[in-house]
Amino acid sequence: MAPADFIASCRRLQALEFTEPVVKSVVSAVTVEMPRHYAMSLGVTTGQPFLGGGPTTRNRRGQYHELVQHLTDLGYLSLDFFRRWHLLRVADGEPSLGQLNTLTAAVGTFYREDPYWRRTLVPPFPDAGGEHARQWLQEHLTEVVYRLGRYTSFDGDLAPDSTYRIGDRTAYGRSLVFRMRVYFHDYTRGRTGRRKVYFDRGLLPLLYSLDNSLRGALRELLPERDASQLHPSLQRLLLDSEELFRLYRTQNRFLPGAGGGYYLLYEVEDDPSQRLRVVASDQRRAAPRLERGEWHADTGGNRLGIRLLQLGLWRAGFYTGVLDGAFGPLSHRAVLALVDQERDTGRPVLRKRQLDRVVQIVDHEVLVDLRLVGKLLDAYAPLSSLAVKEEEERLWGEIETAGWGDRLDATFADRELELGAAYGKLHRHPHRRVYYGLRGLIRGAARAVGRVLGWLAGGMRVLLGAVFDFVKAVVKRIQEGAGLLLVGFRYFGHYLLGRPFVTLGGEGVGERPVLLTRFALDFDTVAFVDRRATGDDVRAHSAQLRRMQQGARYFIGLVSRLIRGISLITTPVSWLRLGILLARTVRDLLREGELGRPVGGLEQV
Amino acid sequence: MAENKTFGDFINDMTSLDVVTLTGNLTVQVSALEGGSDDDDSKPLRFSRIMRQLEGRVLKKDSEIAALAATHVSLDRDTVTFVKENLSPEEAVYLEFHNETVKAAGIARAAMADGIAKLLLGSKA
Repeated sequence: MAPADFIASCRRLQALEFTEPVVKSVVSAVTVEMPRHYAMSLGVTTGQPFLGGGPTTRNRRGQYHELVQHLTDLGYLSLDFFRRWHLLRVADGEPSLGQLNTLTAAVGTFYREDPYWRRTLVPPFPDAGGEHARQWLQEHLTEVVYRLGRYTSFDGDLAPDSTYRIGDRTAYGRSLVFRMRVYFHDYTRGRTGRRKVYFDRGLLPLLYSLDNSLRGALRELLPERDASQLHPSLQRLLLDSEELFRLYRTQNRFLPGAGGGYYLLYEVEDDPSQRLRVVASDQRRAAPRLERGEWHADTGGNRLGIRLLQLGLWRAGFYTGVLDGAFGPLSHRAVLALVDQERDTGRPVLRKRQLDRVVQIVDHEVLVDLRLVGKLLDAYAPLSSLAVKEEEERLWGEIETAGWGDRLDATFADRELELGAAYGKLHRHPHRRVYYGLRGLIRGAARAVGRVLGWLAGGMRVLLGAVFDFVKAVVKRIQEGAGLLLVGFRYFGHYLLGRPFVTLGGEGVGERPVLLTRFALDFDTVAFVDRRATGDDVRAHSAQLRRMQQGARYFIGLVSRLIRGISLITTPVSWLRLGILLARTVRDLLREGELGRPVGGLEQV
Repeated sequence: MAENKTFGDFINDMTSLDVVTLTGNLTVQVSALEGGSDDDDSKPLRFSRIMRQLEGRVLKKDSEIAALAATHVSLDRDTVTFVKENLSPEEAVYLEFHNETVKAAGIARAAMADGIAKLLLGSKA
C-alpha cells in the first residue's frame, strides 16, 4: 500500500464512511504497512518489530535510550544504571526484568513530581508497579519522553516556575540541579555518586560564582542566603543556555563586533596540523599578540566559557562528550567539524578567510577564536516553533527538488545502517550523550542540506553535524508520531473492528476458562463468561476492561485527531514524511496539554 | 467491521445501548496457544489462535451457551435488565460483572463519540 492510498482511506473515514473496505484499509495501513516501513517495535528490544520482518534500525529502543538519558540527568536513575543500560545496548541485549522495574519505578516518581499529568486525560500511572506499570510506560512512552525532554532542554522549552520554592521536591527542582551540575560539576570524576537530587540552599553559593563569571550581571537577581524563591529571570537564564551564552559573551566582550579578541588556547594529543588548514601569515600574527597578552583567554570560574562552548557544540550535534569544561580531543574535533561543515553551507555566516581563522596553530598549540565560534553557533541556535517549521519545509523541499522524494524511504533505511559507528562505541565512552532538542536538530540539518543530500547519495562518510541532526530529527519524530499512532490504534481498532477483549482464567496447563467482552461500534455489548471462571477470573477480566476504558477516551480522541490530520494532506508524501507530519500533530497536542487543555479531550477541536 | 454501517445507522444505534452477558462452556487448550511454528508471533498467547478455537466451539451444537442477563439502556437512560432465574453463587458474581460491563460500555461509548465528533468537526472544515 502506498501512503497516498492510506491518506485517501483516512479521508473517507473522516467523512464517517465506516464501511468494511475503508476500515480494513486503514487498519491494514496502521497495523501492517506502517510498522513495516518504520520497523517500529512496540517493545524495548529490537529483536521483534511489531509484526516481524524488516530492518530493526528504527524502533522504540531509541526512545528508551532518550528516556534513560533524561531520567539519569534528572537524578531519577543512577549513572551506573545509565552505563549498564548502554552497555547492554552495545551488546544488543535485552534489559532484565529488574532493569525494567527500576526504569518504571523512576518514571513513576517522575509522574508524581510533574504536575503535567494531573492536567491531561492520560490514564493514571499504576501505583502497584509491575506489569501494569511497564504496560503504561510502553503506551505513554512518547508523552513521558516529551515531558522529560522539557526538563533537560537548554533551549528555553521550560518556562520559569513562579510557584517554585527552593528545596521543593519536584521535577522542576531536579531540572535546576541538572543545570548546576552541567555548569559547575564534573560528570566523570569523583562527584558522580553524590549527586544532589533537588535544588536547595546549599547550591546558592554557586549562583554567586555564576555571577562572578558573568562579571556581576546577575547581582540584582541573586537570592539572599535565606531566600525561599529564585528570581524568574535567574531561572530563565539557567533554563536557556542561549541566553546565558549571549550574556557571557556580552560581559566578556566577545560578541560579534566587539573590540579585542577572546581566544581559547590548548594542546591536544592529536597532531593538529594534520587536521587544520594552516595559514602561515595568521600564525605569524597570532604568536606575538598572544605573547603580549593582548588577547583575553580567561574562560571564567569553573571554566564556564568552555562549558558553554561545549554545550553549544553539543546542541549543534558536533560534540558527544562530557560537559566538563575540559577541552580535550573530542571538543577539538567538534570545533573542526563545525568549521568543516560551515565551509559548504549554502548560507555562510563567516567569510572563507574568517573561517580559516577560527582554529589556528601556534607553536604546537591550538588557538580557537571564541568570537568567531560564537558567531557560527548562533546560526545553529534553535528558532521558534513556527520558524523552524518553515525551515524544515525548505529542507524537505530541497530533498524533493533533488529527486529524492520517491526513493527516500528505501534510501534512508539503507544509509541509516551506516550510522552504527556514530551511535555506537558506548562501551568505550559510557558518558556519551546526545542532545535531543528537536528545533536545534532541524536547524543543523537545514543549515547543511547539501551534506544531507550527499549522505543520501552514499557519498558522505562524516556523520556528525548536519547528517547526524537530520537522522536524529527524522527518527525521533517517527518514534513520536508513528509510535503514538501505533499504540493508540490498538484501542481505536479494537472498537472500530468490534474485536473482543479476551481474558483467560485459571493458571497452568490444560483447559483455561475464557472470558470475553465485545463492544460493537455502536457499543452494544456482548460479554461471555465460561462457567468454570472463578471470582478472581472475573475480577481480572473486569480490571482489563477498566484499563481499556481509561485508555479509550485518551487514545481514541488522539487517534481521531491524527487520522483527521492525515486526511488533510494534499501532496504526495513518503512514509518517512508522513511520520514527520504525524509527529507535528502529536507535538501540537502535547503542547496543548501543557497549557492545561487535556490531550484527547474534545474541547481541543 | 462485519456490518457495512453508514453514519446514519451509526447515529441510530448510538441512541440506545444493549448489553448481553452469556455463560456456557468455552475453554481453550493452553498447549494449543503456546509454541508452534506456523506463526511469526512468538508470544505465548496468540490472539488469532484463541479466536479460532472460540469460533469452533461456538459453532458446535452442544456448546450450551445461555443468557445470564441482558440490559437495554434507552436514549433517556431508562434501563431495563433481564436476569436469569435462580442464580447460583457463581452466577451472582457474573451478574456483578454484567452490571460493571453496562457501565464500561457507557464510558467507552462516550469516548468513541468524542473521537467521532473530532472526525466530524474536521469534515466540516
